[in-house]
Amino acid sequence: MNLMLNATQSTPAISADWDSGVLSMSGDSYPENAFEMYADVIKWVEDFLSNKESPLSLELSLLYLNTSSIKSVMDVFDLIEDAFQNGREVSVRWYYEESNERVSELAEEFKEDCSFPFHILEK
Amino acid sequence: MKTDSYELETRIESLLKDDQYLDHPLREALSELWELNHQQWQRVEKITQLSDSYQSMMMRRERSLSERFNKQLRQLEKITRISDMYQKNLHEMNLELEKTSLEDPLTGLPNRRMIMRHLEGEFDRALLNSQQLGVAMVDVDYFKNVNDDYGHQVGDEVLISLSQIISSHVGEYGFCGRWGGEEFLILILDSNKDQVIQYMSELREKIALSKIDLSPTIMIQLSVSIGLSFFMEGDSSDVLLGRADKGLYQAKKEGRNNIVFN
Repeated sequence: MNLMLNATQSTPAISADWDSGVLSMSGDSYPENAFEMYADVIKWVEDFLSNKESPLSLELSLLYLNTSSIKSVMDVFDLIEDAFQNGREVSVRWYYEESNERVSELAEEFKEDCSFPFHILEK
Repeated sequence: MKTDSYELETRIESLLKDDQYLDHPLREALSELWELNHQQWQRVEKITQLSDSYQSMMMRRERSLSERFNKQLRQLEKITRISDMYQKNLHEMNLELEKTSLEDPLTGLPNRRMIMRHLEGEFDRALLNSQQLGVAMVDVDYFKNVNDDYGHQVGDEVLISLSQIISSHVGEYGFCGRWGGEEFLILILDSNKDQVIQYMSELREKIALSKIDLSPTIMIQLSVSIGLSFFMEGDSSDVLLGRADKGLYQAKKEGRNNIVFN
């Protein structure tokens, strides 16, 4: 089961590939219905973690996030953290442009309290 | 006096065991009462046990609730912190954008939009408080030749040098910016007509005498033409600008490197 959402001005491009176990999100995220939109993402992650045994990796190039998007992304990380504590292979790679160092500082904040592999990388 | 319960129990038990009271009419009643007492004690014990286990269950529940509460509190704090960072970043980016939208990137002088903003403000002050306001439109003479002869890069450097001369000359008595191309606009505040003409004559002369030294081999000498106008009753900012523009046109027509008051 794959998930595919095209980017809009206020929502990131989201794609989740069931076979490869890669969830990618890139762009700005400030939709009015952030919880609704991320509910699909959270459901996908839950389904993947409970139905598959292969590794899950997140590829993120998120820029601006509004408060409810921050909460939703943290919820995704919580799921991943639980899975990691239960021995699953999971990882997050958060990419940023050299010209936008602020993104890496924000990713660092997200990374705090996460014990799974969380890499912040320059594009 | 308080009854010693242990002693009482021992007495009753020995009375009930004693064969000599076997046929005593009270013995059966005492034996039943004794049995009932035992049952009551067992019930009390059971109730106490149940109550204890309820209590420990509630304590466990409370502990897990408070753990969950603390976890959510930590999460909320993290969200708030990250959200604050995003807001701070947005604010800084807004300031940067505003700055770049009001500044001429080549010379660092206020751009046309910024000058217009100032002009409107000063214009209102002139209108309300009858403050004096002069406008000078300054255009570099034969600037096209600099670009044609030396290239645009040298042209840009010339504009930077001129902008430095103009802004240091204008100093505190006014406000200057790049109007576009090789044109600069100066607002002169709180000065009368004669002072405005004098300030601008000095500027024209200063530029005409400056040798712009760009490299060992390039030395450029330029002049400017200036159109001047002064706030009059009934003016709008457009009319005031229009008169300065006309003055500039006239100055060019009359041979350049001069000032025309209009």
